[in-house]
Amino acid sequence: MKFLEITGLTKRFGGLVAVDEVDLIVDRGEIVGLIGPNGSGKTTLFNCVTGLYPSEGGKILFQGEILPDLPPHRIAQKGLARTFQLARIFKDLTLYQNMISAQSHSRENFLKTPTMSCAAEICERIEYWFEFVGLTKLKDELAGEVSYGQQKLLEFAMVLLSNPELILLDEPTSGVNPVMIERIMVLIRKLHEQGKTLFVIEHNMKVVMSLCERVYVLDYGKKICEGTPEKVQQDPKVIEAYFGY
Amino acid sequence: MAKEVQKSGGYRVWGLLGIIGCLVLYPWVFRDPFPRHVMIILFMYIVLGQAWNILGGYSGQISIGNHIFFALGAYTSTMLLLKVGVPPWMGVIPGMIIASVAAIFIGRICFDLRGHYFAIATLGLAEITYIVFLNWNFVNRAFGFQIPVMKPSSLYVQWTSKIPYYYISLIMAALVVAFVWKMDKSALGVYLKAIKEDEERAKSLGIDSRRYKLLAFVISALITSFAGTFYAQYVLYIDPDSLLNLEFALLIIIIPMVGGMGTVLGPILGAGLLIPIAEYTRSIFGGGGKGVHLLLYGLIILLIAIYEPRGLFGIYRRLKKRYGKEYPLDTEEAARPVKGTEAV
Repeated sequence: MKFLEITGLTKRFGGLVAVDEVDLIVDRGEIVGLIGPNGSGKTTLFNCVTGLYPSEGGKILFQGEILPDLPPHRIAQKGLARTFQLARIFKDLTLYQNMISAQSHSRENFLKTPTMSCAAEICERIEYWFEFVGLTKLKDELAGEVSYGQQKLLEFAMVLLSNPELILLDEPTSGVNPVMIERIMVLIRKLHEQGKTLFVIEHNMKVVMSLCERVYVLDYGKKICEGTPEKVQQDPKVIEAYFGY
Repeated sequence: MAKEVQKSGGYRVWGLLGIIGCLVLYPWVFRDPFPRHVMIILFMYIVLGQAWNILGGYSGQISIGNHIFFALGAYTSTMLLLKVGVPPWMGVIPGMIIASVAAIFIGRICFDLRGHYFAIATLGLAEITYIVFLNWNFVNRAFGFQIPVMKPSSLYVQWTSKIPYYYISLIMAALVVAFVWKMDKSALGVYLKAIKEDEERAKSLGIDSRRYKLLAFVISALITSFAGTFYAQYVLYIDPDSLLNLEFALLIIIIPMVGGMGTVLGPILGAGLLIPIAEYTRSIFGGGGKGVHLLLYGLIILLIAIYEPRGLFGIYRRLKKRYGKEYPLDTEEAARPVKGTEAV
């Protein structure tokens, strides 16, 4: 049984085929990259996996379970967490409250939610992850008032709090200054060392080449290439997709 | 800095105790029934506004049908009293159960609708309920029910003096405010605000938004229904026109909107401004001035919408920012980049 297995995934928007019969596999403990020119269907694929879009054909198996049958919050509870291309945090909440919103949600605690914020053990974990990404000092600020890079780090910490098995990162370094990119790459490596599985969309080739063990390339919704970063870089199809003839 | 914060915490405790003391002593200072009546109605609207606030203010689901639960509470306890002889302090519980079942029913149907469509659906349901109650023999149609005046007794929750009503409504309001204050900081409060801001994101974090909206709706319905029973016992007369009309439904919404949605203080400030206006213009102008308070409401809503869309709470925050030294927000420190984030 594969960790994440996608076979023949298809998603259309009207006449446009955004994702076209894509097969891919992510094994446990890997960092897998997903690259491709703008509009090639990378984010759409992520949205299908996390249940935000219903897929129209194909299968998505996560640890042997068929995902598209589940609503997005159930998929998240299965241990599949994601970040968004533009950091999507709750701007009207403080950093700390953002973290509380990301704690793992179980049905047993449902009726306790009106009176408690988080179990002691989770509060400790929140502190731990704040420390991990270096936001401890800002935790009582409104998330809309910290810098964009810090919002990205916050989103990162939120994803980590629920202790997911598989983390989907949608352009973790876009719109972030080079120093913060370094910081984020260090975080990703640390997570990899902890045995997490990461599936990363990334435009920054330097980041992709230094992080990922395997890379998939999409173009116009189709998978055109897969393999190690070195192999992908030299594939004529990939070069054509990026630069044209 | 820590010392100052502690000090301001002390001020807050004393301020709160002072306000509570004033409210407890109020009926002994104002011995006329009318000022007491104004406060009773005020407390009731704080409760209703706060209940609406839980769903509408926190999770952003605008319900124009919250008065349905008010009517359900009032009708259930009154009919149990008149037909079976169940005293109202017991009848309030079936009322709350019926209201929460109704909330689950309405919520299950309507929470699939987003934004304004939810508001429209609840408005439609409210109007349907109104028509049904107007024509349904079981609930005595448009005549409604009159609770006969009995010998004053705690058993049947009837007294000649307004003082017991005053204290019941005060305690009711205090409990509800305390609950919302607690909820504001709880996980539920955070989830609801998250749902309001970005429901899709909340879902992808694993928040079951429908369940939490439903929970908020049920809590809102329970509180509103309780207030309904209280109202029925206070005015001793209920009919569809006084409980299920649209003006009442909108007043429940306007109170937290004017006061500040999604805040604990909002409904208190809103009710504190709007209810005395209604009650005093009614008493000053009598029957001829029936709509005067609505004119004033219109003006207030206009001013709030133009100058401070966050409501009276927004004005309060501005004033505190300008004059208050209560929260020495160390902005310089907060703005400074955090060590470790800028370089690895």
